[in-house]
Amino acid sequence: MKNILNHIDPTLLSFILIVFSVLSFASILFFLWGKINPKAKLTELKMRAKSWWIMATVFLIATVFSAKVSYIAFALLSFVALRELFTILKLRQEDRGAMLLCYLAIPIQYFFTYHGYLVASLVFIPVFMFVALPFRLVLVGQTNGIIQSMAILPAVLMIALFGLSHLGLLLTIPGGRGLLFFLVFVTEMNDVFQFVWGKILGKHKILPKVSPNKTWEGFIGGVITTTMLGLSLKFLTPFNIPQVLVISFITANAGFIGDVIISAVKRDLQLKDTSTVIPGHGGILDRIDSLVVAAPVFFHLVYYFTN
Amino acid sequence: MRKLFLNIIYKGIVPFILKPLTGITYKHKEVLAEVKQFIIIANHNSHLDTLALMSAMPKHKILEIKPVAAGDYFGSSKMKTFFTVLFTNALLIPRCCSLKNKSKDPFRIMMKALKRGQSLIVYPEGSRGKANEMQEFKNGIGHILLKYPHIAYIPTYIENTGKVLPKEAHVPIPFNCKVIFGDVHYCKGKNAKEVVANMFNEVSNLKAA
Repeated sequence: MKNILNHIDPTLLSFILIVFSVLSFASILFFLWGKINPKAKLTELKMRAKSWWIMATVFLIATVFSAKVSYIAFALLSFVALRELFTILKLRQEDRGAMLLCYLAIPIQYFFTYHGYLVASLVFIPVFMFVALPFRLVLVGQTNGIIQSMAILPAVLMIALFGLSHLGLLLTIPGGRGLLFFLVFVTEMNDVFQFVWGKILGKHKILPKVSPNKTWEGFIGGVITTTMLGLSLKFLTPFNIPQVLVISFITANAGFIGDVIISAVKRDLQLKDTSTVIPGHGGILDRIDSLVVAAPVFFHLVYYFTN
Repeated sequence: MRKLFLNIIYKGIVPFILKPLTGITYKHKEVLAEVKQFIIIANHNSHLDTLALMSAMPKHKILEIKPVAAGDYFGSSKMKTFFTVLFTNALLIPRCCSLKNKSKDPFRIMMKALKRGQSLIVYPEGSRGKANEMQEFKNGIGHILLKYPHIAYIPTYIENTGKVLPKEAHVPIPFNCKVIFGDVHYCKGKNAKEVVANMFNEVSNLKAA
């Protein structure tokens, strides 16, 4: 046990402590709230908190011990996200071959990120797969509805694979694990903050046709709180105060953008959640929607600041 | 011995393959414990349907559960018969009209199994259809239930397996699948046609829910 503790450096240890104190705080809060006001509708919130415990634990196990495990975990996450997207989107039977290519792209993309081939990781999907997928569709020969498939399949890869693989790319930078923790914690907490501020102060709807529950108050409150949170997590990053403020501010906004993009997709498909695998949250995609946009943005900011 | 073998397959190997391929989730699975003997009435889109249903069955009962399969397809050769029965515990019935030959009468074969106390998995569509589109139910199971009105049936809707592995495909593509079990029902209707029409509605309702 002591050996393991020696391996984990103190900054990461304090991060783990922060995560579990936040979770404990939430769980105790809901418990007491339920005792004081038994009529309050807390079942969903409690379920969400419970799922957060599980997700946080899985995430920490996947990232703390070994880089190899992290890459396998990210690849699995991409796989499940891809499967979920294929399930909800209405694709044709003729697209099966191209879908298989999408699944095969997962190990290739993570092979590039694992070995730190930066250029290959950045061009494989937007350059190579963007040609390979339409060509595969052309080879089938069914042109009825092919435009839609040509547009959907590459977009799906960008969401499920390209965005998420930046979590792996972060790990290739020195001090990358701290940055990964920073990104994931800030993005996920941004979702929570926006939700909480929206509940407390929410009045003016920000995108009523896309996401009727989101408000300006939630958005602004969330971004400010997230930026402050980022500042307090400065110890996970190599940056100075202005840099951390800029990064946190932009990441919070990118998270919001990812969230509403997936919301709009769900609205078009007339779905509430993308699946039901995470109790209280919905599907995997409902949980990582902000991350898929925030991750590339965050990575390139980091890259810009460190070079 | 055979029970252990089937349990190793359906509680170990099959879920190991099925989970990544289909992320399968079961809804209202508890119903399987409610009655001792039952007939599962399900829609049919893929070979995966039987695997998905068999892995949902209670461990101690697995030997007593017989998926009813087309003898003319799965029993077309001795090898095929042997492996189908070995791995799926299937009850092979001829799909075509051989009512005169008693040993090949599909009704007799199924009723014999019911008399032995076995549970059946029946796909009244008769063959695999297009993904998430139900075909008309055949009347056969209605005739049987009219003779055994005390045996329960459980309408079941299977979603998306036809997308993972449709009839013509050889390579499976992962999609999220769902198996939704309905409540326990008993035969209702004056003739086979009515019984089957009721079943069809019950399965369709699960789809809509």
